[in-house]
Amino acid sequence: MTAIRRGTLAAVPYAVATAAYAGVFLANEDRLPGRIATHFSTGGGADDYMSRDGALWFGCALLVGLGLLFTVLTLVSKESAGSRLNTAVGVGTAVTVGYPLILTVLLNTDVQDPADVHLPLWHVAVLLVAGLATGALAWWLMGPGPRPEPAPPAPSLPLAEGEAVAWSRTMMSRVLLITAGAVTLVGAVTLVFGPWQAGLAPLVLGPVCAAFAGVRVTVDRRGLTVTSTVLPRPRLALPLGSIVGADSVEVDPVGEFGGWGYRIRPNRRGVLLRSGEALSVRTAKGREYVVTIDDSTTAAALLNGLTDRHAREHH
Amino acid sequence: MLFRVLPGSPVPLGEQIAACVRGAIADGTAAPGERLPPAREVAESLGVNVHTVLRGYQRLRDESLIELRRGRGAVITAAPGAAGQARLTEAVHGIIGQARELGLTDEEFLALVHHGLASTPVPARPGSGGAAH
Repeated sequence: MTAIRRGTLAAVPYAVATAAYAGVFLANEDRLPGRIATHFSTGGGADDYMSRDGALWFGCALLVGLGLLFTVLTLVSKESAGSRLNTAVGVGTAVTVGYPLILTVLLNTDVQDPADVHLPLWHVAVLLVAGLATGALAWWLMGPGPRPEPAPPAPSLPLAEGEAVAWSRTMMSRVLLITAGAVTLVGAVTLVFGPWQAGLAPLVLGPVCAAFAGVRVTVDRRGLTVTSTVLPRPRLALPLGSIVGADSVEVDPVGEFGGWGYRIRPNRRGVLLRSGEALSVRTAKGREYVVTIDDSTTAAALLNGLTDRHAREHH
Repeated sequence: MLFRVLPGSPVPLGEQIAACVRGAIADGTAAPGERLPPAREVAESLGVNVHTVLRGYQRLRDESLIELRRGRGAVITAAPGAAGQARLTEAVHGIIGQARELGLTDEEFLALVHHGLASTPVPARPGSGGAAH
């Protein structure tokens, strides 16, 4: 199911719930007391109240707000693994929130004193079960999403015996560089004109950030090495023996890793300076390393060629 | 930048390294302004002496394909026509290889080139014949 359709699936229950709530409310408006019971104790008796108009606006705002939140979350998470769960939870929540809202209106209808309103506790069980059921239904409806089609085996550069090879490329993040420059400048200005203690942190942080705005990715007989263009350490090094295969992929740092920089996810690590083309390397331990770099097809093919040769030589 | 060298080949390693960069400039995979990896790193990656890599880089500088600057390293020249120049150098290396395979002496080969040059008129350069119009 595409992201747009998932977004629709997340939005529709809230639209329906809002329409139903407003519809039921307006249809019964004449029969509702001026103050209506909106909160109930564990015994089922009313213990908090709201004005009639206030309740209408509160209910609609709550449903529309939640609807927007879940729709945006679904659209942002796109095809990633969390998208299906996001949508299912959103749909379930629409029922769990919409049901008691509408029920409150119905319970308050034709009541003289809102203090007399009584909410039977079994409704709580109903709304929880109904929420879970619709959430599960949405989960089932969406299906597992577009299975990442079994990618054709990544090309492998055939290497001659004894041939020495190396691939190296740098990637510069202009955004990070400008940000680091701005932070350093703020630090320097604060140091001179403001309290010097406050200026110290940005003055140190800026250059450190700048050092990681550029990374060099190297593929050679030692495997994969990712390092800052100016500092020798820290570095990310994957020896050839630990690598199973490599591929060129398209990466969406926000959707897949929750941001830029060095990102850690279960069984995934990322060095992400931008979105788009990236080198993906799988290790024998089942971990995937994703590094954003141009010309990643060449890097992946060379890494596969080196891995193949390494396997031939060691078996 | 992809480097591939065969240590057992009769072609010197420095020339092989230069040929890798030249080929990348010729087919456009290396863009003008792109920085080549430092010679020390290439040497470590390939397992060759750093002077061998520097010899290759100097060869490229002599061909005006890269600029070597202290502190900035090796940068592919932004001068127009670099790609064409690189392709021409590659082609020359290609025909020299053919001549050697056929067993031609250097004199015979040069005579062949001279003869070819003499029988091919120099085309009027665009823009240089303005006075004739």
